[in-house]
Amino acid sequence: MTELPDLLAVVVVREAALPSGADEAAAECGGAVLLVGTGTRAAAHELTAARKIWICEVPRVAPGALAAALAPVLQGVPVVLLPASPDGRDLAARLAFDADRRLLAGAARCTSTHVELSRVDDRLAVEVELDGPVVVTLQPGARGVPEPLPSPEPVELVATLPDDVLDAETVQVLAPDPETVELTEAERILGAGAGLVRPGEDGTAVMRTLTEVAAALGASAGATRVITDAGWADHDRQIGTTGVVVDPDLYVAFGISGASQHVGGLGRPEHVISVNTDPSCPMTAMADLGIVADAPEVLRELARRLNGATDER
Amino acid sequence: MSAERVDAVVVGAGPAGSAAALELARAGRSVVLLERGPFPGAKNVYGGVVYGRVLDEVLPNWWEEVPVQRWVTRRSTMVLTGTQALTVDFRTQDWGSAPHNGMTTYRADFDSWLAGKAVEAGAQLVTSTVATELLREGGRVVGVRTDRPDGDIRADVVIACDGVNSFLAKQAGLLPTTDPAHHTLGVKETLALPRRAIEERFGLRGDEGADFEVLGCTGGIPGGGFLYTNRDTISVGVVLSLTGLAESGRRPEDVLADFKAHPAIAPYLRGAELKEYSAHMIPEGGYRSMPPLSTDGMLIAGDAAAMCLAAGIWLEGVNFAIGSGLAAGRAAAEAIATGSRDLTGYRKRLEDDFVLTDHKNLQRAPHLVLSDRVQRQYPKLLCDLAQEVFTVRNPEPKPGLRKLFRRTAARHGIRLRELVADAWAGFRTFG
Amino acid sequence: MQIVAALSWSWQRIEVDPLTGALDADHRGVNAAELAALEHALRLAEELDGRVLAVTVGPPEADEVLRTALAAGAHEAIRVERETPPDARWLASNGAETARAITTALTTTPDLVLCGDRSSDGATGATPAFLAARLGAAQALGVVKLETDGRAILAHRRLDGGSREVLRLPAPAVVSVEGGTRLRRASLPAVLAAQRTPIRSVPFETRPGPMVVARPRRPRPRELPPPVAPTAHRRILELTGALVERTPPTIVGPLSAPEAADALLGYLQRHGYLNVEQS
Ligand SMILES: Cc1cc2nc3c(=O)[nH]c(=O)nc-3n(C[C@H](O)[C@H](O)[C@H](O)COP(=O)(O)OP(=O)(O)OC[C@H]3O[C@@H](n4cnc5c(N)ncnc54)[C@H](O)[C@@H]3O)c2cc1C
Ligand SMILES: Cc1cc2nc3c(=O)[nH]c(=O)nc-3n(C[C@H](O)[C@H](O)[C@H](O)COP(=O)(O)OP(=O)(O)OC[C@H]3O[C@@H](n4cnc5c(N)ncnc54)[C@H](O)[C@@H]3O)c2cc1C
Ligand SMILES: Nc1ncnc2c1ncn2[C@@H]1O[C@H](COP(=O)(O)O)[C@@H](O)[C@H]1O
Repeated sequence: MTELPDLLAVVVVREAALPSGADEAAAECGGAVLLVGTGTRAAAHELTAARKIWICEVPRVAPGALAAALAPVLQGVPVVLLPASPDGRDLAARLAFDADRRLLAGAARCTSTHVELSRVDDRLAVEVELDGPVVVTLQPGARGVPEPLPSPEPVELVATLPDDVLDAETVQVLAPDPETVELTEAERILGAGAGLVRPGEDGTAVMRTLTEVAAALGASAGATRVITDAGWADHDRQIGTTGVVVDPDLYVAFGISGASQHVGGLGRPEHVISVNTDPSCPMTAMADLGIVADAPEVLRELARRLNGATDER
Repeated sequence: MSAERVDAVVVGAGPAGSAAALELARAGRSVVLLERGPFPGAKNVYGGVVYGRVLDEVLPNWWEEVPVQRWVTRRSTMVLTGTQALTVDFRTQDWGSAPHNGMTTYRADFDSWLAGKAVEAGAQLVTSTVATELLREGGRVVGVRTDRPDGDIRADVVIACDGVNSFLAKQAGLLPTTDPAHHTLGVKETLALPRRAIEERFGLRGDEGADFEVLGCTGGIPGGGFLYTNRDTISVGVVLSLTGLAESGRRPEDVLADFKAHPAIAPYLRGAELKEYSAHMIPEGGYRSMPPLSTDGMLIAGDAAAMCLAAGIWLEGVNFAIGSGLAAGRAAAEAIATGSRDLTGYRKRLEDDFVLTDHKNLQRAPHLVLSDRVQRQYPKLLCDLAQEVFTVRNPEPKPGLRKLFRRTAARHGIRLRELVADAWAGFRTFG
Repeated sequence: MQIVAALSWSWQRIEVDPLTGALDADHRGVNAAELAALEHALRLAEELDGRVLAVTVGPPEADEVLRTALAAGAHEAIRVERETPPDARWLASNGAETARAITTALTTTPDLVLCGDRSSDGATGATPAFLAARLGAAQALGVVKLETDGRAILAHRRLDGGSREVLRLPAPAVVSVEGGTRLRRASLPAVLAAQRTPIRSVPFETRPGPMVVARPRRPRPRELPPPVAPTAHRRILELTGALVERTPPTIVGPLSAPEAADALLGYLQRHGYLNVEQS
């Protein structure tokens, strides 16, 4: 068994599926990555940024037991980096506690001597100079991934899950529902802007209709800050530099002007449609198809055609 | 479950309500102060200047802790026509130091601060709670119902400080249903501008502030405009007669937009970013249309009792609200202490105070300021006169001032007799 | 059954000076996720015959959030004394110290702890996991739905890529929930009684966070795979996207709503987004 490096990415795998941010974490650690969980050997082939892979196959994914099993294995690794995916965040704090280390959560950059944390909705960078072993979580999307590498043959590590650590029991895993899929993952997004809600109208109802139309198109609903600030949609629906950064294939903008703070979070959609009364607004100017029309009316029409019953309210 | 019971319930944690609750608490009475918003001042609209001397009665050296934006050291009164502007500009450094005169402050800060004083004195503030109904026994008001579960609360005295168009005063039959002739509409924007830019444009330093009041800027609708400086925002707004507005068929935000675009105003606002828009009614009837101030078991104070001193554009509402609130609190505390049901001492207190004295003296002001001559003719007259005086016509010789005046007045169809009458009325009103 | 609701008193809307990175914040409070946690705690207590203890770690002003909890029906409240200035050093730290502080307020291990999924300032969501570690409890973080099947509590939590995991919780367990469930409206007598209740507080000696340097954040350049074309000229074309074939942008209209819907759906159809024919 080769010795573990000073900087190691630890990635939790469920049934051979890698979480978002796995390759970024590996790349940030110079390609050194340890996969733990179920189906690790198959998942190892899916990595594109790994130069050296360790795998640790366990019967189930349970943060308490995993942390207890891994803490001694990782003792000699000063910087342990996990992607800040749900399972990564779950494990990171438990690992830090069991290994008696500091946790530095939500990093945008990580080296063996310094960690840059992103705080206050990505507006503040806080740099920490490392003075002891740490556990770090890396924000997905913070660094990007380099040229794909062929995956090396993984090295097996053995760890046994203790049975005296309490964890919750997984009853079921439900597949994504396009209506609630995290926007970051969505391949199709319908976006709502100020122009979709008439003055005095209830924006929450409009968002509901948009979500229904989106569901009929296998898409998710997003919004601009004007909409989320008004409380018509949750903050996690806000696309943009201070909201969620998305990267769909299709983006349909309803009544959105295309402010840079909004478009800055849009990634590089292959197809963009803009429905707006103003033919020269930036959103329409950058769209593949600009439709000059009244967005609330168009939405209502789409709801009628796609869902049939929606107009009866 | 039997209803809560306290000595007094005050409805509305605006300046009037907090002042009333403060006095009751200081007198050792149990008092609950109900506020509809999530915190006092959450949604309260006003122009931006509070005349704070009335606070001397609340707290010595109040100016050391009041949440001030700027101390007004410059007051300008402007008269505008479409293309002209005449300004009387007054400034005094005296107002920049204690005990000060006017201050600009945000209502969210000021109202929270004043309510905090009431709470410190022992009042119980309950926010996010609307008083929905008066509780009565026989003819007497014995408490209020709120929109919370088990929301009834009983009290010896209810003080309604729920603002203009008071729902409670109407329910008690003290206030007739809204009469548009006695109300104006205030619309206001808060615009963000860097502190440095504000200080350069208005000629201010440190925490000095400016207060502009403007006549002739409302497109013929009786009313006026204002402009106040905060630390890094400007409040700009217009006050419009409701009847005039309805007749004109215009939207208030358009009137405000025209005011902001006037060549004498626009340079102050250039590049400012809109932060907030709001609109609110103002009781403008003055002394003559003031409702009865008490009924059995209940008092009304502040805007609820039309206490706002609104002479068109000169708006003093907050100080009158505090003054009347203090008086209501004292009168109620006294009645509770003596077990008397007589609340008429309230009016007496107000009459001895600046509150009703000023109102009585200025009772003609709203009418005068909103009159057609003051609104339409005098601005034009004054501006044209100034233009005549300042225009150099060489080689023609300069006409004498008296001649110029008579000529301009005649051109505007204003008879000297009216002018003298208005001047006399103005003198008696403001003098 | 003993249920704890952990409610923060965190800085809301911190402003960052875009040039210097200086921080400014003037307002603190509880966030929607924590109010949702409190509501879940109250509902579960009703259903499972439990008692709710509300805990906050903060300065004396934080009593306000505990009074909110008492008014809504929490049985007890306790505050752990700690001041957290809105500075970068505090923001860099995470829930480890907060979790330690919360456990000092507990005399026994509760059956269930409910937290928000993240606070408004620290906002890393790490406190609940550290709490679970300290209490030797199971954890369910980022929960969107809580239900009971008879006696056991089932938690639906978000996983990667929009999937969800349903967990059966043993006791003790720590759950962090997203906002969305509204806190019930307290009755007037309860609000007044809560205001009169003295709030117990316990001292806490906090350890300082790491030394830090803060500045406004500039997004880091994203790494892109290098172009693979055989010649330098082609690689440049590939990098810059020049000469790449692209449908020219079209602007149509003004259109009526039905025409616009036709245009929109037609476009989606042409580009393969409508798998089934819509009428
Ligand atoms: C520091 C900072 C961060 C920010 N972060 C974000 C962010 O993360 N995300 C974000 O979205 N914004 C963000 N903003 C706000 C951003 O600058 C814009 O204000 C916002 O994106 C505008 O949203 P909008 O397009 O919905 O509204 P508007 O700009 O008001 O545009 C409305 C559009 O609707 C059109 N319209 C009007 N009526 C109709 C109709 N009947 N039918 C069709 N079209 C109509 C109009 O022509 C216009 O183009 C940020 C701002 C700042 C200062
Ligand atoms: C545009 C404009 C500009 C103005 N400019 C100035 C100025 O520059 N200087 C100045 O001194 N004055 C100014 N005024 C007037 C001033 O705002 C008012 O006179 C003053 O606010 C009156 O105080 P108040 O306490 O009586 O009522 P308000 O301040 O209106 O307070 C009433 C309170 O009662 C609450 N409330 C109402 N109904 C209920 C209910 N049923 N249950 C519970 N709570 C309730 C409200 O939420 C509110 O907090 C201006 C007004 C306007 C509209
Ligand atoms: N100071 C605090 N007091 C009590 N609970 C807290 C505190 N800080 C965080 N929490 C709890 O932990 C959750 C996650 O916070 P954080 O780890 O700061 O993102 C919050 O939603 C609260 O439920």
